[in-house]
Amino acid sequence: MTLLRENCLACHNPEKRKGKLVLISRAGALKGGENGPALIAGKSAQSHMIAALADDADPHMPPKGQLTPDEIALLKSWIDAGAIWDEAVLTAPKLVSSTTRPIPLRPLPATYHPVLAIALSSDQKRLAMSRGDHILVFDLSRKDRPLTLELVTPNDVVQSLAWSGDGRWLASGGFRRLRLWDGQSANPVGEIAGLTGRVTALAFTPDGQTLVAAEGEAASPAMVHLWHVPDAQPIASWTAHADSILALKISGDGTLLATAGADKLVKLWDLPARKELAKLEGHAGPVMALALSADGTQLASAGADKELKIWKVKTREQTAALTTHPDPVTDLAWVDPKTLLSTCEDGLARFSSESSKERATRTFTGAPDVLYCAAVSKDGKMIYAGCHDGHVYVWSVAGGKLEGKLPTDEQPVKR
Amino acid sequence: MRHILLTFCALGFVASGSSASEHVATISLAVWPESATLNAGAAQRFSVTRADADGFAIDVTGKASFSSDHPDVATVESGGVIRAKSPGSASMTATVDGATVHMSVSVRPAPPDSLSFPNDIMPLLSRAGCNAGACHAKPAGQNGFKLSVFAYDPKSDYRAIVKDARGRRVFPAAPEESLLLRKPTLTVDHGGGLRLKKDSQPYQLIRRWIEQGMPYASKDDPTLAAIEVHPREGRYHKLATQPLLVLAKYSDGSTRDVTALADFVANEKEMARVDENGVVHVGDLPGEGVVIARYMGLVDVSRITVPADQTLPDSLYATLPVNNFIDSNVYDRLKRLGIAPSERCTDWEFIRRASLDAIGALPKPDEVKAFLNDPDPDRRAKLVDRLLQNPLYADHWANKWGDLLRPNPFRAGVKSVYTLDQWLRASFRQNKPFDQFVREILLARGSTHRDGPTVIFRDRREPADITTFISQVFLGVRLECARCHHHPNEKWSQDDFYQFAAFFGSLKRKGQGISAPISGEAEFIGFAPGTTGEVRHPVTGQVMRPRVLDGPVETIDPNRDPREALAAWISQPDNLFFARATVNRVWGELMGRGIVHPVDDFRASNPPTNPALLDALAKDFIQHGYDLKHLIRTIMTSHVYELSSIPNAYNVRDTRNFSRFYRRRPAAEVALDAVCDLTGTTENLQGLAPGSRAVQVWNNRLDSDFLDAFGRPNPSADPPCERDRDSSVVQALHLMNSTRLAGKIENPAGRATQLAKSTRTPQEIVTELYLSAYARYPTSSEMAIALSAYAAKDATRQTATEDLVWALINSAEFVFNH
Repeated sequence: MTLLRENCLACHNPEKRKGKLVLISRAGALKGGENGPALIAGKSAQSHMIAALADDADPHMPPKGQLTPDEIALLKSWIDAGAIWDEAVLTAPKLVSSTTRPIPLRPLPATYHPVLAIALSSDQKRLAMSRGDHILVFDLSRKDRPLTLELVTPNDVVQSLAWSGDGRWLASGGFRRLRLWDGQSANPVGEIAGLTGRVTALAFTPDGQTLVAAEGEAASPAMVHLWHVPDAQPIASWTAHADSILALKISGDGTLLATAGADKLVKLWDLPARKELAKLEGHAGPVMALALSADGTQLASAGADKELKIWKVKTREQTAALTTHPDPVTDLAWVDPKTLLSTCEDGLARFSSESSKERATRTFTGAPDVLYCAAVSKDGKMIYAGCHDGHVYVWSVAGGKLEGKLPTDEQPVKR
Repeated sequence: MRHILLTFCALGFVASGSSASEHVATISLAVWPESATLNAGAAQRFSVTRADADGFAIDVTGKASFSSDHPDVATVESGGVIRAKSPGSASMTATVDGATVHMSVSVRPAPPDSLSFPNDIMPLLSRAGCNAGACHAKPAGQNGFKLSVFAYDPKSDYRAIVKDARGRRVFPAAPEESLLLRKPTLTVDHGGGLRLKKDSQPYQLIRRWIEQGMPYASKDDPTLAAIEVHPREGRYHKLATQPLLVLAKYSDGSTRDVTALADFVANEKEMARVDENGVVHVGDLPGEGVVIARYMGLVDVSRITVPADQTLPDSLYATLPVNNFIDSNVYDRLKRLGIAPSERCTDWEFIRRASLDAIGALPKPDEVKAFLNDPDPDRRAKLVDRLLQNPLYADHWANKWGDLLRPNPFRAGVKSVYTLDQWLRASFRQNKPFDQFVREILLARGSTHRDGPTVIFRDRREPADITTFISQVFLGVRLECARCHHHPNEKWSQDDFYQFAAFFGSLKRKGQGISAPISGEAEFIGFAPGTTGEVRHPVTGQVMRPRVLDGPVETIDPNRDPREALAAWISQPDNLFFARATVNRVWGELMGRGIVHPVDDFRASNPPTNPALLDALAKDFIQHGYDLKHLIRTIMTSHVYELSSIPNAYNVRDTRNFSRFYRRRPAAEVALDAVCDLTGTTENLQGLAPGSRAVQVWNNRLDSDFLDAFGRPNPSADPPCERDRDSSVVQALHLMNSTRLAGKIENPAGRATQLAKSTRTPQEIVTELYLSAYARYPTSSEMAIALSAYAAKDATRQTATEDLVWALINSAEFVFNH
């Protein structure tokens, strides 16, 4: 049973059903898949399973490994003895869900403080950035962009940030925990704990009444949760993607929710009805970034497959595929109806537009490491991008020059 | 023959008997490594072997008892594992059956506990198979996670692990929750199965590395410089086992026992296989093999020799004729393996073999008769000299090099390919020194319709394509892998590849380029001063400066063609790449198998079967001014070349030590010419003058079922073209049933008709045909059978002669060179 679990179940499980074969139950094994029964109890010599395990078998199982002669002999004698089944062994790992297991967080290594999230308030005056387990807020209305707040989420790397439309609330997502802060006083307002994994994306509805969060363990099904703000009353939750949700956007009228996942899919949802409207397929890797145009008609998506796709929201039709990036794209934002800002793992920020399919129309250089997240001012004049080195890099679009970084080397921060 | 074999056996028995009695007296132990510098906390296994009087290595590590003179500095436990405790020096002693051997260990303070991604973590992931070609190192990665093949690009692997998808694979606040650990331990589903056991040492190391904040490397981290496998070479008894040790050597002089992290592959699994722990299990066949140990892109090999059961007496080898240095080198090898060479071949076998090999044609009956009657003891050497003066020599050898150099005429243009062919044939007619031949190719300039070698650069247009080609054909190194990633079984990196390519960066072309399928116009190839082209490294984007393999980076005057520096290097007397590759190729043509095989695949993991012979041939070739005819003469006048193709009891399984002549099928063109010569006809070859021979064909696109059946190069393939050397059913059927071939036999102007019409007796006809086909006289029983064809009912002289020609063509003795 342990051999089956460790060598077969990753593919022959009820979700993947490779070759239409599910090896969870004895009945499933006897019923078999596309090629007939996987095994015939008592007759190892006539069992497909044993044949497929041989060194020179075609198809060969497992596809990327070779069981040792001893292991095969063990399986043979087990089949010959009647293939006694113990389903508990096969399903055991699934039962121990990590939600039931508390995971204490230890202090982060001193060198680890990536800027995974960035959020610009709608009045354009405040920029919030994550930095490891800290959140820094800068005042953009002053030329020297002073650091006005420093919030701490002890040992918990901040994965996502969002301002409410009125700037009253700042929400931050960490590991199994979501925090709501008063945007002015920086006082913690509330906390939602007890989630299963990292809170990978966050957004407020335009009315500021609902907080939408995506969360889940990596490589496991991911959920979308809706909470009422500020009392954190749960409104709804549902499983939305088969793997982590890496981006989440809400349309200006609050009716449409777009999500993108490590399962290579982009999905559109009717937010008030919490109903799936469409699956946008086409990406060949995890989708990291989404951007909805200001008028809500265009959706841009990009990710690990390095391709930037533009979709018509109404028809769900893909209108463009741009190959303007040499490395995975981490975030996207519309600058104007024709221009997209992107951040990329090669450390560059770029402008891309449908008119130039293979070359970025502008590049912004100077960041020393992978860029994770991007923001652009409403007037399209300033660009902000969060970097692995713990800084946000700032460019003015007009000059294309690196203006500086946040925090600056002179700004004292706790870490 | 039988008498001689019996003598061998008797002597062999005496020899092994005497060595057995010496065993008890001399136990000599060896230990490896003899000394080691270790960091406190590190462990190092060492291996104790006993060499017996016959030179066999026997692993006795498991039997030995160990002690340390300073257990506070380092302890040693059974199994030979030393554990470094605290700084200082210690001496270890291993004792087996009263014999002892010592090893010194010096222990340095432990470095600060900071793990390095390239030195500590990547090896674990490689060993777990994460970056195998079928898994996360596929071009598109697996499930969004992509690693470089065999960890050739640790920086990009680091980014994929630490930073991709906003760092979702690592979780420093709770390292065990990192996807990097949850997937391979099957805590979550993993298509690649169980790759890492929870709480195993590798698991703990990766966990600690994440806890430390996933450091890449600190500035003072030593870099991996080399690996060394032990034993490098060993003689083993059948069914012996030998654990290998792999030591990584770092830039700061420290070493690390990486046996547990290395990969092992055996090249002759029947002879000796190797398990995943690096333990060699010798099989029950005599022979030689290598086991390749691979660690982080570096490769080392352990050579394994398993002699035959009988050791043959030295006197046997002492009595063998030595015509030149080839013979002594081959006998040395055979002696080690316990193989006796076949006998010397007969004169008639020799003249047929030498003619087919040197000029690609069967000897004529008169030549055979004269040779068989020649009493001169030097008649074989003189025959070789005569053959090398034969005009067909040039066509035959130019045709062989045509396979390697000749582009597809439908791509590079018919006229261009013809121009190259003319240059090739002229070069072999003049016996152009081979270094000059290659220099003319490397420095080719001018018109593709006038200057033959330029055509190669018309066909191969990118510096990277030229690099692949030149390195494989002239240096015997398949660099192709290093175009995209570090060569998996060799030391060659992408740097090596693109630095070599940089010699061709400033090549200029003028005129019309390739316009397949005609490519009718000429193109001009050359170098224009001041227009330096750039070859960039595909990963770093860095502009590469030219550098030859294993050489220094060149500084090239921008007014000079960088190819000049490469051409000068090729024929530098100390450049053994070129000479070895060339002699090996020629040796392979004449002996049926390269000393390195395949002939253009030199690498540490594919060692020569006889390194001393290869080097001796290369040095002799260099000393004689890269004279191909001298090389061919040297090989063909050796005693080894004269050996019979009939095996004896001692060499029947030998296929690589040249203890007998390996019989083989001649090339398609030679076979067709032989059929034409025997039938007394010519072949109408498209684009060639009437009466031309198939070895003069310069265009593999001309129609010929015969040449297709007998494996001429695929006309659409890029050079260098592999020929299919195997025998096939198609060939047999073609020789039996082809109507074209029947037409040749029945041709009114052909030999069968001419002989039938002549006044010769049937005996004379049979003799003439045997001399033509086999270069020998028929035996009396063969004569009797042949004559019965003439006496048969309904037979005429014509039909009987035709039947006899048909029968000869369809015999193995005709089809093979033996």
